[in-house]
Amino acid sequence: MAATEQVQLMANKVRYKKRDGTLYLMGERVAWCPEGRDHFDLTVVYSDIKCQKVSPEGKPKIQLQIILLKGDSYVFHFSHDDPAIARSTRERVKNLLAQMLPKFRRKIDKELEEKNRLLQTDQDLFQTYKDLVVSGIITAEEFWNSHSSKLPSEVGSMQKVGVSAAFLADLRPQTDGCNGLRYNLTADTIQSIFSTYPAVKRKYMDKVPDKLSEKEFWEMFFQSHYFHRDRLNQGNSSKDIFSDCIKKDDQDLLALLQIGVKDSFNDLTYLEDEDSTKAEGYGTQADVSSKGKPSSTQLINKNIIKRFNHQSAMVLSSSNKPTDQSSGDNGTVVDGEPTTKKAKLKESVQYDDLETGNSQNEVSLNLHRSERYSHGPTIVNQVHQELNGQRVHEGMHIVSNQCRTYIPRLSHVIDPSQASTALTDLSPDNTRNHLGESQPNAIQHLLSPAQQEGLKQLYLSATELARHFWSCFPATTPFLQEKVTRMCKSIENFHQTRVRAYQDDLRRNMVHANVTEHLEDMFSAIFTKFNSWQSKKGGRK
Amino acid sequence: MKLNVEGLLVYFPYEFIYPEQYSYMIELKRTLDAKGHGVLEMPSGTGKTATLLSLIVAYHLEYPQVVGKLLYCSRTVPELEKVLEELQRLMEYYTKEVGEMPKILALALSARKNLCINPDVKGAGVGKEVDSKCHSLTASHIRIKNRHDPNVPICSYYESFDAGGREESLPAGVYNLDDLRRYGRIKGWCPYFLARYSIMHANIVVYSYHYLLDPKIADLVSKELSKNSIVVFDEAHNIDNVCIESMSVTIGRRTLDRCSQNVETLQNHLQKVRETDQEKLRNEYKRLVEGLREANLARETDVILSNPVIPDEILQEAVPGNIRNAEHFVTFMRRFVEYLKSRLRVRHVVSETPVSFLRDAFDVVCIDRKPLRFCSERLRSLLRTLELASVADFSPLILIANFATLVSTYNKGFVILIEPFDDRTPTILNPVMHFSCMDASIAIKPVFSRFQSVIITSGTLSPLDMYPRILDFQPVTMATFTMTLARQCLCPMVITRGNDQVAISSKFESREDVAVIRNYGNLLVEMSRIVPDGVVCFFVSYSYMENTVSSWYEQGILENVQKHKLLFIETQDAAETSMALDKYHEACENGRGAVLLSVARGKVSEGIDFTHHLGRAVIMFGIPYVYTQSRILKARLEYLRENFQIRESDFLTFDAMRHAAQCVGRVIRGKTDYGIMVFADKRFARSDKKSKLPRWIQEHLSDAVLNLSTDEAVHISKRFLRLMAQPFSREDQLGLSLLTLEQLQSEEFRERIRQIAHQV
Repeated sequence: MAATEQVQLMANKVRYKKRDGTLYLMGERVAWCPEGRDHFDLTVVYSDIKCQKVSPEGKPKIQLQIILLKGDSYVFHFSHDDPAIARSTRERVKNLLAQMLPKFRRKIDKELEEKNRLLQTDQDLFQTYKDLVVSGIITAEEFWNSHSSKLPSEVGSMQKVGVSAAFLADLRPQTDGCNGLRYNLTADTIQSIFSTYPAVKRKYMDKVPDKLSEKEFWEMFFQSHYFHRDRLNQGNSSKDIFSDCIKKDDQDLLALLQIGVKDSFNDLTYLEDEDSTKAEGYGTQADVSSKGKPSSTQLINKNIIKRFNHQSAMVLSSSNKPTDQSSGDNGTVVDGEPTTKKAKLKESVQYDDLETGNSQNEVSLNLHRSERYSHGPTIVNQVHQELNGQRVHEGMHIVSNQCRTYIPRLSHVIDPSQASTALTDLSPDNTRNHLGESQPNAIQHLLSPAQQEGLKQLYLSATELARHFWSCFPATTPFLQEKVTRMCKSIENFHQTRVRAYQDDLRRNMVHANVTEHLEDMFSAIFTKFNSWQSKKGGRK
Repeated sequence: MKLNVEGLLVYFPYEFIYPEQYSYMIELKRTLDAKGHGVLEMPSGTGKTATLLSLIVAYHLEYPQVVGKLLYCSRTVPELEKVLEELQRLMEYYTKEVGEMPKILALALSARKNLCINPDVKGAGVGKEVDSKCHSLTASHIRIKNRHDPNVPICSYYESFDAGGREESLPAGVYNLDDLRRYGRIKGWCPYFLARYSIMHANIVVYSYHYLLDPKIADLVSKELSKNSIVVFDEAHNIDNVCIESMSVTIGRRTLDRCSQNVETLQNHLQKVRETDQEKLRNEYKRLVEGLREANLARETDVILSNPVIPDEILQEAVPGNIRNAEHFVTFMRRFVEYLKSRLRVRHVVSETPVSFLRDAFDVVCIDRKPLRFCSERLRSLLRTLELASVADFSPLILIANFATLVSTYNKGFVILIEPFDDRTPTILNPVMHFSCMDASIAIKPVFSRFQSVIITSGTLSPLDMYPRILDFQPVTMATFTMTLARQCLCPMVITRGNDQVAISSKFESREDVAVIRNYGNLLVEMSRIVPDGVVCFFVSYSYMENTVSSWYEQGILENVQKHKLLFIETQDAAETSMALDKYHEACENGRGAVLLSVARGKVSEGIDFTHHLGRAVIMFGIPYVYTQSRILKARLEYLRENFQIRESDFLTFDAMRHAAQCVGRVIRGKTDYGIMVFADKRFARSDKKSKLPRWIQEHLSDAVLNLSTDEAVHISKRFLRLMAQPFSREDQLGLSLLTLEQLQSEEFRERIRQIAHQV
């Protein structure tokens, strides 16, 4: 196979549309190749896949279905002679897919969601998007490239909402009157549970919706030992799907403990200065190993404590950026010793008030009236009263003083005549203004509101296109050159269809004023530029 | 600033000084002048260490003949490092003012675990393993073997230190643990042995208590330190327990079983050696006959076991005849171990004195007192002769030998207790023999008699007169200093009842009461609601904390706490707690705020400071009495009553209150810091408890805050926090709690400073 991607998993004897073949799971896509051929009849990119489904346990046919976002679906039949092998192959495919899908899905979803949100909130942008992208004048990618500043940047300009420490407390069950309990789950709580207990999230991804419905999943969660840590495990672990989550958590915890604490001042194991002769048996404490087994209540209590520590730690880390931990604040390591330790040591022996001149590096809250701070916000009318006094006069005095002493910094402004020409050149109504017409807001009288709206849309789309066009110059790379040509075609297209249509519409409504003149100017400027650029390019060749 | 402390020029590395620091210097100087011992209590966070160091360094530079060396003992490794950092600062100030650094060599000494730079050894991680690994690379017989067979691994760092490290002494300077390691890496020398060697000629040595108090270690490390040294025990409020721990031995059945194995191994080994190299044993025997125990001068790395007895007590005699022969000695040890096993077989509690124990041993197995006394010496000699690779395996036997030596040396101040059952599990047979020291003065006595000045200091030493009594010494100065404050930055209060007026107390009879637990819970919820950033709580014991936490969980109180703050809980596992503590810091740093539930007498209460926002309030749930049903404690109380005329209740309250003060003191670490101290137990209001708190806490504990309910306390706290959040500048402090040099010299302030020290 001449596959450039790495093949993650290969499953032989997989039937698709009654033909035998091999199923490949690769880095970014699923592919199926019929037996005896060397090309893929079917390839599906992971990001297009909505979900996967498997045939129930008891069924004779061992199948796996992939459902695409578009709604299509493909069914693969694992047709190995031995059903056990077929099943295990299917399981392997399923598990790998379950790992791969979320990776791609979330990225796409997140971006789309973000763009969708932006379009919904910004009406004008939405209209422009409709005009340009939906009508196929420019591609969506180009559109978003030029509007990327409006999208929240990847590096989290938006603050992430943390997890409340008491999110489980909000989940108080209510009795429904007939020996049952009701838990009210909101999306927020689920999010909190997921980010605090990643093991549960993995479980959820794994089980829902193939094996369990969402409702069943949460039912089991609330019944599980995992949720109720205070109950001892009564050996019904076969029923409890969360029993391995506990083990996983314990393992994670152990791994964390192994790493230890970065800050040696918090490391209790570092406190003690033990020497060789201070071994077990000395002192009045009996050695720990000989102590009796703790009772079950003690175990439960220990479990609760462990759970609280774990939960708080997870809540804390859920609000941290994951990259933080890997880069670490260990500081640069000199000679195997973290420099942060030295700094910490220095800080711990520092007495700020015994020294002078170190107040620069701290920011103090500058309160003019500290009694207001300590008594909370004052009532509004009090402010008025306060202003009524001499302060108003003082304020007036200051303002008038400033006006009197105002000196314009003329060297920093452009020549007024030039400024006004530039302004008029840029304004759509420049011609009329030049003629000195007395109605600057003539459009309002000439056009109906709907027409005004149409004009506004035209302008928005046209300026968007123009911006794309002009931003290509100087067209030094082949890509930009290609874009210039494409843009020019798009603009021509836009001119032909939309602007003409609008003009026709105006004509039909008996509006004779040439409101699109400025638009035409813009277009003609673009075409001139394009022609000259092309002739120059042709001449160079 | 340069100060004149009663005729002594003291360089103080700051531009301002707290009045109590100056007062402290005066008292300290008087103590040194008198060449006597002193007990000084100064609040934490008032720069005690800086004060001590600048005065003693000045004294040393002025009168090098009188004060030859400073031995600064502290409790934890981070504290040791802090002391050296302060010293570094002082030296920098000297360099700036005088132009050159004074010729002072200061260094820290810690266990191998913290100093080793050999990657193979250091990787072991745990202290004991590092030690035994180090030993297996540096023992003299291994090094001799290496000379014949280069494949035998040795430690290159130690070898190069041994080759050149002793001639060239460390240049003057301040060497922290990190600095020592760095220096060791540059030179290729072992930092641990370099430090061990250098403390002999260093001017200032900073190490932990054990190096001076535990005879087993002190014998190795601190034996040859000069008499004209000053010893400072910082954070010394717990020093009596350190003394007692260092002299006590606990033997369980498992230890004895392993001991029997040890004896077997020794026997086999002996057999082998007898067949191959009889000469070796004969030489040892000859040596012992001549009484030249130290004939082949113990190499520093060969420290297999040292004498558990205080040096003066070691007999200058030859080892008695019946254990001189190696085989006889092994048989002797086997007999002794079997005797101990038979003693552990009893089904009732036995309490007896060492004298009666010895008599019984003589009657039953004919073991005399004299050979017992030489047990550890003899075992040391044998282990060295046999050249065993892993001495760590013999720790149980060494323990028994040490016990034998101790029990036959001291007949006063010790008790032997045999308990067949653990009190908490009275059905499971788990016999333990305690050989418990009851007299703290035994271990510390040589320190007092040997060194000219011993200073015992801490933030919480009240009541001061207790320490001279239990440690049995005559101080020339005893003083407690108050904390001069421009604003009252600590807010101690006693909460005696909940909002429902039910009295709250951790008293044994009422601690399981639902109302009490709920009231404690509500207190925590309320405090976590109003206090910003960190809140630290202390319970009286682990089991009490565990029970309370689970009741709070059932009552839904913890969920209410979580609505305001994250919750972290100390456990008995040090690594787990470190993790929780680290997360607690993180939560306080990033503004979420957190509550730490912890235990008095636990590791957190002893070694971790909660400065500034890391602890804005500390809640003491109940009075941290020691577990009073323990027989060891009962024996000790009885001993104290008979020999030192200290009433049992007095001692118990004293012990409880010093731990309570330690806990609440964690929250205030300076004058710019502030914190609420909640004593949540109605018994705190009584004068016998209150009067045992340090003066600097007591003086803020007015009658108005002695009997509060939860909501009253919340009200006071709110006002306090609002007040404290105001900007606080130097100008506010100057002249009150902060002095310039000019102010210090004025007559008016001299008078005031005189009042700060409160002589007892």
